[in-house]
Amino acid sequence: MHLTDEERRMLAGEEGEAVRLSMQILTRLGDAYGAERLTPVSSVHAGCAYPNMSVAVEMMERFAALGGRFRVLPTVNPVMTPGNFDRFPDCREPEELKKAATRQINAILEMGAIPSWSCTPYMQGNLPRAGECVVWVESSAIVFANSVLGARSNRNTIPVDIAAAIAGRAPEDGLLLDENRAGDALVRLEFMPESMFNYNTLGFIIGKKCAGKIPVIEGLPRWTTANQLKVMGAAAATKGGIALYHAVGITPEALTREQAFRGRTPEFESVIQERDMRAGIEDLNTHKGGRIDAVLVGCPHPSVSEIGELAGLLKGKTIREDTRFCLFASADAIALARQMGFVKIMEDSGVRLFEGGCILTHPIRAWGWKNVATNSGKYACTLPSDPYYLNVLYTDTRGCVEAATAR
Amino acid sequence: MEKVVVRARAINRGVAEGEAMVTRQPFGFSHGLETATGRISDSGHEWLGQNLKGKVIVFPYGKGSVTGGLYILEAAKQGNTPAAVINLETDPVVAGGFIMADLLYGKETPVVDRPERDPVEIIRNGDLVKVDGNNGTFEVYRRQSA
Repeated sequence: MHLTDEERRMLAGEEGEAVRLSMQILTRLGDAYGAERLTPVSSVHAGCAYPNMSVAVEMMERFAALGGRFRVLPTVNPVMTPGNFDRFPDCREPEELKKAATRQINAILEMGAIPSWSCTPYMQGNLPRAGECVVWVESSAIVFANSVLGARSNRNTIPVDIAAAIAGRAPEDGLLLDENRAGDALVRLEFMPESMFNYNTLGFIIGKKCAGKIPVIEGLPRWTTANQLKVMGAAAATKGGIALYHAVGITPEALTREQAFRGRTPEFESVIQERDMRAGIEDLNTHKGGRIDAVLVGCPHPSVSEIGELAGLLKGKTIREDTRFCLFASADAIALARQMGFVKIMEDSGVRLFEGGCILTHPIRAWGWKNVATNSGKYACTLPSDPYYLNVLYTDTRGCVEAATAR
Repeated sequence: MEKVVVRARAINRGVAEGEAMVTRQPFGFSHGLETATGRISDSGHEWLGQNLKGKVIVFPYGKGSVTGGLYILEAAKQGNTPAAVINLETDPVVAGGFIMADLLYGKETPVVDRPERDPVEIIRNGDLVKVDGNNGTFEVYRRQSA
């Protein structure tokens, strides 16, 4: 890989050990994928990991202890922040886990991270332009950046994000290059998805059919919203590792089908009909009956409008005492929802707000939960697996409210 | 025993061999691997319940959460990584995980991708496979047909 004189000095350790380690990681990764050089980046979305993994804390503290300072101040994904510890009397976090979570948070903040704690950084001002090279983690955010914004991010893992934020650079390879962004599979929709729930399910089906590919989706209505694309992409990324899709007439690199494929022929073509949606919902539904221990809403983090819709459905209803209704959202969205009266409605119903939180960062298994309900395709894909092992009732927001309030 | 040599792209360095574990389904380490044991825990995967420790794992693409790299690091620290990895196209999450396991924990796990022949066509479960991540090749020693 070609390195500038400055980059050579960074790799040699002349700017400190944290920069050296970061450059080692970035150049090894770039060499693996045949990158010709590093490219400057000005947008990083970083992640703290589930703190039960000892390496998660170890890595973050290692970068900080080596004197790491971020050149690019990263936004950060949701974590188990102290504000979200012990939110239910019978669902507490072990002291050791709280300590680990706090240590990880302190280390990333010490290096200069922005305490944004959200998986939707693009709603919080981390908004790269089309064509901008960025280093993001969080599969749902990466697919949004690439597809909806037209920015360019690879599927970076933790702590490659930390290395990139310290070095201010990323290897120029993979999805950062024009030639790797052409669509390779055609997905034709023969129905209108309309609801948020359908977009979730659609994303799951696309992820299943086009795993590892760059799908080109034809047939999404012109009035498709960024929020709908957010949930669709999240499910597609979780199920199939999709980091980029094009939607003809909708996303910036797909004004036409020809542009999306950049002159190539699709490897395969797939049609999705309304009846496929029913099969998708059944696939995601692993609940075999039995009491719902918790309802989990807010994955990815919702817009204020989505919070408003939930508040509308909950108004005047009371959540059963044996069901924990959790809403995960960014501090920004919650602040606005509070001003609009939505938070009061939800708190009166018995909803617990996890500000900047995500259930995936909490030790659910220790709490003995067996069955949960969610409206999120991403959660429905993830929660049956390690380390959660939950059965999931996958249903729309109305169904989630029903599951928590029916007597 | 029949031997087949296949050229591929070198993603991570090292040379190792082991028994093959093969799937046509994409695989993600995040929420897919129990790092304390090496057991596969992805409820939607055909590998569910199998153990990848010491195996040469063959899967087409990565998937799922990008915390996969940390799962690989944690497994490396606990000695529960596969012997080697063969993909059609290696997910940067997987590459990043094994590169960092080498840099930070001195755990070399060869990873190769873009093989000149479809690995699922030529490798069967239980075949002995030797992966050279320095030169980007792998050798398959096929068991006699059952």
